[in-house]
Amino acid sequence: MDSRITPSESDDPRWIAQLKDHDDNSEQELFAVVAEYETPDAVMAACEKVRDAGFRDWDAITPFPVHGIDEAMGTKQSILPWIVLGAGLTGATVGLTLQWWTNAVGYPFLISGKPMFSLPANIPVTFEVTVLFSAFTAFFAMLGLNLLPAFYHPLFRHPRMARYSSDRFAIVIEAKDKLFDREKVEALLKGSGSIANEVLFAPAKRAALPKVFHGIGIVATLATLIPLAFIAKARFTHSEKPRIHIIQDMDMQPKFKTQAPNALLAGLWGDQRASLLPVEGTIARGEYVADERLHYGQEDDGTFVTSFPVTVDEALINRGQERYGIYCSVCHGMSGDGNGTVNQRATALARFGGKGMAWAPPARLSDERILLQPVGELYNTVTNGKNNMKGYAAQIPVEDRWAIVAYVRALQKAATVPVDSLTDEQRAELQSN
Amino acid sequence: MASHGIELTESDLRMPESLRGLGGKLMPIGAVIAIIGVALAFVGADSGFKHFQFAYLTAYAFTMTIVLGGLIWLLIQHVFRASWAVAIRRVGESVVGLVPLMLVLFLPILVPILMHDDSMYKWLNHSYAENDAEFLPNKQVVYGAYLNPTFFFGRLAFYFAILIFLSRFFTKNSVAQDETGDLATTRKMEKFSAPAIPIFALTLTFLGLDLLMSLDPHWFSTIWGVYLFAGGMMSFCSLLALLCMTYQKHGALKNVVRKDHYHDLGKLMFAFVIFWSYIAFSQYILIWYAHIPEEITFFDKRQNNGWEWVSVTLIFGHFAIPLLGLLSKHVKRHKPTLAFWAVWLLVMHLLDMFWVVMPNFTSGHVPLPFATIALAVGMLAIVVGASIRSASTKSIVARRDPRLGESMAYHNV
Repeated sequence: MDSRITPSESDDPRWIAQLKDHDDNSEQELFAVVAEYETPDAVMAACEKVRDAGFRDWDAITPFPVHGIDEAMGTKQSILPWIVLGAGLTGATVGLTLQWWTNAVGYPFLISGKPMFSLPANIPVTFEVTVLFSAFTAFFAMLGLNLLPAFYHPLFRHPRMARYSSDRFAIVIEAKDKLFDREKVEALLKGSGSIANEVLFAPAKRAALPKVFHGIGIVATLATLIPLAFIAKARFTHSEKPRIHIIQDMDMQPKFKTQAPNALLAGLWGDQRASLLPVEGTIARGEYVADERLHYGQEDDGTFVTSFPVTVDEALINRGQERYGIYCSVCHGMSGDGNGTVNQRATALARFGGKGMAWAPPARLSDERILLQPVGELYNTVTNGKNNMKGYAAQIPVEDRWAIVAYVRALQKAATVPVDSLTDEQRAELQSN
Repeated sequence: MASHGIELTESDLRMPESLRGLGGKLMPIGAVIAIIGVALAFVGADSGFKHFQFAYLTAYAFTMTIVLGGLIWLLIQHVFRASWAVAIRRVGESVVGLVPLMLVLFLPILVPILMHDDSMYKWLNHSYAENDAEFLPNKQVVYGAYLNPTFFFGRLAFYFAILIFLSRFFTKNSVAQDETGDLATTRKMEKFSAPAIPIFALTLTFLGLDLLMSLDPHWFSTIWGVYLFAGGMMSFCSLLALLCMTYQKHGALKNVVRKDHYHDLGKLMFAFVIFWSYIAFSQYILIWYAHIPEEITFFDKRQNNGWEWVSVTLIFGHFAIPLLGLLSKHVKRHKPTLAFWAVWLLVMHLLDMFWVVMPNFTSGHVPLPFATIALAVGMLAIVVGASIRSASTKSIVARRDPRLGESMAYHNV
């Protein structure tokens, strides 16, 4: 049976007249021979026959995936897995190289004391990039290999396609196949268990796209360039205007900031401040200084105190040892020799990698300079810092600072005691360590 | 019963004599190998009862995780109403039903510690927590409350009770259906499998925590149970593939198990190679990055004194190499290649358990592995022999399962 593709009910009614017109006026050309089957087993058996006849431009159409039909059709294994494998390996390489270059070469950045290029830390990103590349490649390569998206195919307008998407199966052998010979193909399909055969004609020329779509296409393409043009302009020009605030109420919150003038309520506090001044004589919680020697380590005349303003006992020294271990030892070392882990690493970095890096080593606490300092001065250094060292007032409470000073004194004593003054037992004990 | 014209005859359902004979032989052979393993623990550099204990625990952890991997595999098949696995389910069930045997095999671990031997589990000593200066004060309370002998033995009894119940329930019901053909049995197993999964997950987690993680009582990892599950599941799928091949070699399951079933088992093996690596790495990166003394000890032991080579072997042997090896569909559909990777993964799982347990025995060096290997091979042979023997007494296919026909006609390409 010969038939032509015609506009079907599923076509858009607005275009049916135009399609009909085109189909009627266009030269018709043999497109394919279509055979229809009732069961998956029947179409599988027929596929094997068509496969063995050596056709290439043909396809089986089934409403659902039929297991085993690939083999029956003689479909070669897809190269998609290899493409995805390549993309995955590329992704892994790109992910790893990106992290290596950004973190270890382009902008060396020390994180958590790990090496600049540290494989374990880079695995998650490498993994994600691998998956990203593989997934996108699998999706787009699958579309590409299937020649999708296809906006037009003669079969789309074949009325029987509705059944092939629902409860019937079909084999289509296209006329463009090298082995195509109408009589032979018809004979082959007739003997393949089909319930109907059709010779399908289609217009030699595809229906032209309605003109309005050309206009829409051009406008849409140009419109996509507009944001790019704005970005390019912003990128290469200067502007005096403030930046655009996209989220207004977050960028400009109705509140007064610390130390800001208060134009709105000028005069409310008697001045133009945003915040009210505290009542005269107010002392903030925890700021009351009862004992200036204890708090500042200084006498009234500004000289450093020479004796501890706290009771020095074993508990204080032990507390000092613990606090020293936490706060001071990273730079000054556990024994106060100035060679803590920070110093070791900084020295190594300065020697091997630091471009133009200067490192002033931390003080050796048994230096004569420091031995001669009164306890008040040591306390002052812990509190306010010195040279590179920052002040620890915010982190260490007053009593603990004195405990540290007491422990530093103990370290100094240990570092300066002459060997001769030790008893034999003490010496033996030290050597055994 | 079957679609696509596959009909099962009585001979398809019975185990061939030669296979039954193999099952009978494997158990004594396994016992002999295990005894050789015991003897090997008492020769060489680290010889002694303690070596035996640790080697035995390694072998036990290896076998037990496989059997428990089988149990969760079975639960998953039921909860998803999976049809593909029905044809090979009975083979899997024959392993899963061995939890009571695993209780018997647990005795060599249990008896010494019941007799107050604390060389493996240091905290079994009542005064350990109090005297251990490394314990932080707040942890002392936790360890004292959790890791104390009475509670420990109580928990073990509880775990085994749950696991034996689960394994009996699902194997018994499946066999019962062979006679009755009752569809309600399938529904019942589906229904019970859903709550059984979280119960199993908690049991495996706490069992792993008590038996393996507490070897190093200072250390903890919240992903530990998942880690053991991943390795166990991977190894069980490997063992199941090997078992099916053995059945087929002896002429059984000829018309029942297809390439497609092996393909799916291969996919699961591949998936769990990746999952194990994912979990192992998740555990590693957090501890490595934070570098907290109380956590880092675990990896510190395993990155020094020769253990680093075991760790590196795991990274390549348990992840990178099988990842690439099992990637291809053809490898998974081809019996000899799949068998190769199944054996490979079982060896790697044993190495994994060795890596988990043995650094607690000698962290200073890697002990000779021969005692552990002989014990593990022996124990696995006993388990495989017992599984074949138990399968020989009933139909080797779940013959009246409503999804059997679908499973036998199953294509996955």
